[in-house]
Formats: sequence, C-alpha cells, structure tokens
Amino acid sequence: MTTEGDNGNETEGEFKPTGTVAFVAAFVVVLMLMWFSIYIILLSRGATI
Amino acid sequence: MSTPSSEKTKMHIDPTERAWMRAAIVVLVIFAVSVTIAGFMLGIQVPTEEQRVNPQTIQDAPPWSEPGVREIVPGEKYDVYIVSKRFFYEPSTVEVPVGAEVTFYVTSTDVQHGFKIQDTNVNFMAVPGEVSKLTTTFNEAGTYDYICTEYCGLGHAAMFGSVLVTQ
Amino acid sequence: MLTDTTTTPVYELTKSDKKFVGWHILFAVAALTVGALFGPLQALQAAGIDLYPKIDFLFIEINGVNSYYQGLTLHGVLNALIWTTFFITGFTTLVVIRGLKRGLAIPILNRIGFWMMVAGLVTAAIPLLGNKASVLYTFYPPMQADTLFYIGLVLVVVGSWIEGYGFYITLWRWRKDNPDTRTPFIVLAVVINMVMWQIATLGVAAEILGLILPWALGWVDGIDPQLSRTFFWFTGHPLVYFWLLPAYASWYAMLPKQAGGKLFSDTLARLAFWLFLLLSIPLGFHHQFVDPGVPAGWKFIHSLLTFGVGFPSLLTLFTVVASLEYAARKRGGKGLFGWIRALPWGDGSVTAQLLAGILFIFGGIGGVANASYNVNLVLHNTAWVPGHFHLTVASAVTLSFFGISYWMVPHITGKPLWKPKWAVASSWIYFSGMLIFSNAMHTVGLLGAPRRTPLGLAPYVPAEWNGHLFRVAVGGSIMWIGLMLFVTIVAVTAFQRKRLPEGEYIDVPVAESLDDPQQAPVWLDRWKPWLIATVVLIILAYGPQLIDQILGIELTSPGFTN
Repeated sequence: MTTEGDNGNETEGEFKPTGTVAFVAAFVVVLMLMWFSIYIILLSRGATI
Repeated sequence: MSTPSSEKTKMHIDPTERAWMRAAIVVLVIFAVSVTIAGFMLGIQVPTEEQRVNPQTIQDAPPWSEPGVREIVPGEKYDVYIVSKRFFYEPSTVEVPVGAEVTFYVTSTDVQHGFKIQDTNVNFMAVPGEVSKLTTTFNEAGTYDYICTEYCGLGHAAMFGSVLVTQ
Repeated sequence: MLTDTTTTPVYELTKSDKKFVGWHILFAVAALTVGALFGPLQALQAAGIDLYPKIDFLFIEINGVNSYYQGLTLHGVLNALIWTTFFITGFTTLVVIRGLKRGLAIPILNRIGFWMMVAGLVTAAIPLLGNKASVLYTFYPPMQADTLFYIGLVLVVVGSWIEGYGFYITLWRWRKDNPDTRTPFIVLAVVINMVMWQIATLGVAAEILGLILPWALGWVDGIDPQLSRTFFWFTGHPLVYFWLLPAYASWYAMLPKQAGGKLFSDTLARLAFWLFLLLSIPLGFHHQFVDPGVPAGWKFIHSLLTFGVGFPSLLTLFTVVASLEYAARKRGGKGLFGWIRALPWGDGSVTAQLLAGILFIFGGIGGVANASYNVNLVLHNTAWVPGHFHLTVASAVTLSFFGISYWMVPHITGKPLWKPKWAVASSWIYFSGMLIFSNAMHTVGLLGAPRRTPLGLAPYVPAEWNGHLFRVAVGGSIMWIGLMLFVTIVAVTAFQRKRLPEGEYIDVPVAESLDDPQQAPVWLDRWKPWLIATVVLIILAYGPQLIDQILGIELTSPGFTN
C-alpha cells in the first residue's frame, strides 16, 4: 500500500508512546481536580431529601 | 463470509494502552462511587416520580388553590407549594426560619419552567402535569432567589421569586 | 504545503460526486454563517449591551425582546442541527466513496435524501424567519411552533435517513464483493455513525409524529410534556455523538496522515466505534436528572451507562494522542511534552483539529460532571451547560469541520486554499475566543446564572456575575471573528477563478495504521452481534420507563406561543 517514501519502519517496532502516557496522566489529574471541585460544591449545598 | 485464520484474529493491544484502559475504568468507577455515596448515603438526591396532576384544574383544590408555606413542625419542618406561571411564581416570596427542613413542591399550569434556588441543591424542572419535589435546609439567614431556568416565553428573564430565611 | 499534494490520486471521486458533496458543504456553511450572526448578539446582551433594537430591521416582526429568542432559536437550529447534519452527510458521502474506492450504489437515493433535507430546511425556515417558531432548538411542548417548523424538521431527519440507506447499501455491496477484506476503518466509522443516528432519531420521530403534530394540527386538545421530553432526549443525547463521531473519525484516520504519521491502533479504533453504537443511545435520562416524571432509579442507571460511554472516549484520547506522538517523533519531536511542538502547526487543517481536540478535553471533563447524577443539581440549566456544549459541538465538532473543510473544499473544487496562513489564524482566533467564553460561562453557571436567558434584562443578576458576563461578551465576539474568517476563506477558495496547477491534486488524507487492519478480530467487522446488542440494551434501559410513561399518558396541556 505504501507508495510514498516511508522510512519510519525502523521506529515502528520500538515506538513507545511515553509522551502519550505523560499526556493522559496530566489529563487524569486535571479531570480529577475539576470534577471533585464541582463535587465539593454539591456537598457544600447539602442534602435534598 | 470466510474469515482469516483464527490465530490472526487475536486482538493485539499495545501494553501501555492496555494499562490506560484499566486506568480509565478505575477513574470512571471512582466517579460512580462518589455520586453513589452522595446520593444514597449523604441524601443528595435528584427528584423522583412524585405525582401526576392536571395542569388545567390543579388550582381548583387545596393545596394548590392556596400555594405557599405550610408549617408542619414549627421551626423544624415546612412544606412550600409554588405554582410556576408565565412569568411569575405564585407566591413570589416565601418566609421560612433558619435551620428548618424545607420541602418544595413545584408545578406549572402552562408551559415548562425551571426552578432553581440559588446557593442550594434545589434545582429542577417544573413540568405541567407533574409535581417536582426536593428538600433543603437553609443554614444562614438571608434572601435566596428562586429563578426560572427554562425558556418559557417572552417574559422569561423576569421570572423569579425569593425565599426569606429569618432567624 | 497543505496536507497532501500528489499527482496520482489513489481513487478519485467523479465530478458529479464532488459536486454533490459540495452542495452539502454549501448549505452547511450558509446555515453556519446565518446562525452564527446571533452568537455575539447573545453574548453582548449578557453583558448588558443590547444591539437587537439597532438591527431590528433584520427581523420580520419588529419587537424588542422577541428578537432575542427568535435569534436564539435560529442560532440553535441552524448551527447545532443544520450545519452539523449537512456537513456530516456530505463528509460521509465523500468518505464512503473514497474509502471503498467505488461510487455510491444508488446515487439517486442519496440525491433524493439530500434534497429532502434542503426542502425541510426551507420549510422550517419560513416560520423561523417569521418569528412563528421561536421555541428554541429543543422545542419543548407545550410551547408550540407553527406546524411547518415540525414538518421541516421531519423532512431533514427523514432525508438524512435516506442518505443513510444509500451508504448502507453501498457498504453492503462492497462487503459482498470483498468478503475477506476488513471494512476500511474510516468507512466503518462514518457508517456506524449513520446507523446510530437512524436508531436514535426514532425518539424524536415518535415525539413529532405521535405527539406534536396531532396536537399542533388540532386533532387532539393537549399534549403530555413529560413524555415529549423523554422521547426528545432519547434522540437528544445520541445527537451529540452523531455530531462528534465524524470529528473522531477524522482525528483517528485522517489527522495522523496529515501530521505525517499513522493510526496507532486500528483495532481499538474499531472497538471504540462499536462501543459508541452500543452505548450512545441508552442513556438519555441523564438529560432528565431533574425531571419530575422519571423515577430516580432509572436516572441512576442511565448515569452509570453514561460513565460507560466515557470509556470509548477515553480510549479515543489515548489512541489519537499516541498517533499524533508517533507522527511528531517521526518529524524529530523530542521530550515528554516537547513533541507536541513538532506537529505541523503551520497547516491550517491540522491546527484546527488539534485546537478542537484541546478544547474537547475540557468539554469532556464538563460532560462527565453533567452526567454525574446528583452533581447535575449544581449545573442543570445554568450557563455552564451552553458553556459545555460550545466546547463540544461548537469546538470539537465545528473546529474539526473547519479543519476538514480546509482540505475538502480544495479537494472537491480543484482550487487551491485561499490564504493558508489566514486559515491557521482563523482557528487560533476562534480558539482564543472560545477559551474566554467557555471559561466565563462555566464559572457564571456555577454561581447560578441560568442558560437561555437575556441576562441583561434579568432583575436578579448579582454584581459578582458582571465580570464573567463581560468575558462572555468578549469571548463570544472574538469567536465570531474567527468564524467569519473561516467562512471567508472557504467561500473565496470555492468561488475563486484560480485552479490548482495542472497535475496537482489535493487527496483525501487517509492514514495507514501501525497494526494491519486485516488482523483486527472478526467480531470487530461484524454488524449483526453489535446491532442486536444495541437494540437489546436500549430495550433494557428504556423499555420499562417508555411503557410506563406511554401507558400513563395524559394529554392535558394545550399549546402556548411564546
């Protein structure tokens, strides 16, 4: 299928998505902080039943 | 439909991505557990099915013929009935004491409205044909506006009322 | 410099197919342009700057506040419903043809579907422009619009179904001719989206045909507003996935190619899309957490199912970022985060989609909060909600469609992109405006500001909202400038006289994957089990409540105009 010059083959086998791991780890931290900040607002406004 | 040999169809997943899939599930479970705790242990619940009513005749009989505050246990427990109409609430002010458990029953006699009491968790739809119900406790004296949060017509932006919480 | 310029196309669409796709994009962009006019007006209104009286000549019925809601309805209908649906069906047409390397099986079927959508748009536009359908794009009964509005919507939806049938038959024939080949991922993705849409829109079809039209035509005296809401949200949530999945398809299968890399995992991309088919629909009650007529238990179940559909989105995050990292490393990117700079930020199409993705990270986070059962009490119908969906449909989707347009318009017209550097700028401007706007909307929503309200007129606005409302106005205005730049670029590109130099050709970017698609398990290329599971899950999640609400129907609400 590859028609264009593709010299990426040697990196393909060993590509480790380390940057991606760092990225999603940072994402989880931000997600947790934001979600729990709203959750705390919810708790502070008290019971409804 | 013929298929490639079965060995070839084994799912190949990069080990890092496999780890992420597990982490993603853990994250989602943490949220699910947190809302479960808030809902079923701390009593922060969403409205549930309450009562079907006829929006055209609901105000013919009590309690909706005279909406407002009902004292159940003085200083401790109150019920408040509020009717949403275009473009005001009936009544537009209610008074309850600090620290009492106040249950709001709200319906609409025309279109859909919203009902949100600021700085509390009371926030629901007022749907004609249904009664919405949630409870809250006001721990500080002051004025808490309840505002219409759903478009109900040209006067929507002016539709609000106030809970006066007194010592 | 843009994306992919080759002299020998792998497969080229016929002139007539290109023209057909072009019609979709023309109507889509026209709807976007008109609908977006109202955006800055609404944003400025929130900050107390009321421009409506100054432009009243634009409205047929001249009447102050009337214009706000008429404008808001046009904004929602044209931008959220029309721009998306027309763009998506056009994009899907192109992807199916190019992906399968064959023409549509029954081209006339798709033509009929498309022109039915146009007829629907025109039909709905009559009452919309005449201020006879200012009911917002959710058209909640018993607020009642002119009958033509509903008929127009039905025609748009049925037209999109017919286009869908054209795609299904085309794919089906291809599969018969290629029994041993995996369906190309990109085609699988966009066709799954059309099938999901087909199932999901049964809700709004039931609402309009079963409840609204008999009532609007006066055959029955009343309507059941609660049941209408339940039908509406059966469609309403999957609707957002219908918008989003084509953008995902581009991020998975086109963006890596444009960035100079490959799709990280073809297998997991397929898995994610099947999971979207399975999980997009049976969770509509998460839009009805604060409805009085739905039992809390069912709301809780739908909340858990919504966390479930979070999974394929989180999977998408990893696969897409890994595909981009692979591209960036090949381009010489270094460092834990430094590789991001090595991506081709000079390419307007890539930049638009990268910025769309960045905004969507926050859209996704907000979405998880919305779906979190009782947490919704803090957010429901506050300004947070439009703040949120401007990060999804107006960013992840719309900015990605900007990016797609930046190669697609040159592809279908054979003309070079006008001012490629401005194309890059347009996305950055829109992105900056969106950051300001959405941040302010989320914040003021948490403070209690309602959505769908001309806050400049509201008597209860406390002083602490003012700073945020000012930022809403600033952000909203900047977004509009970015958007108009986009519209100008694609319009000039399409209508200029200049053509691409002889022998030059802008191809559709289709990324290869790092893993061989042939190695994807068979069950990721089979429709039957997934369709059965989808229907079963919908019956389980919706059946009992639908039966309950239908049996308890009370047609007691007469109609009201605004």
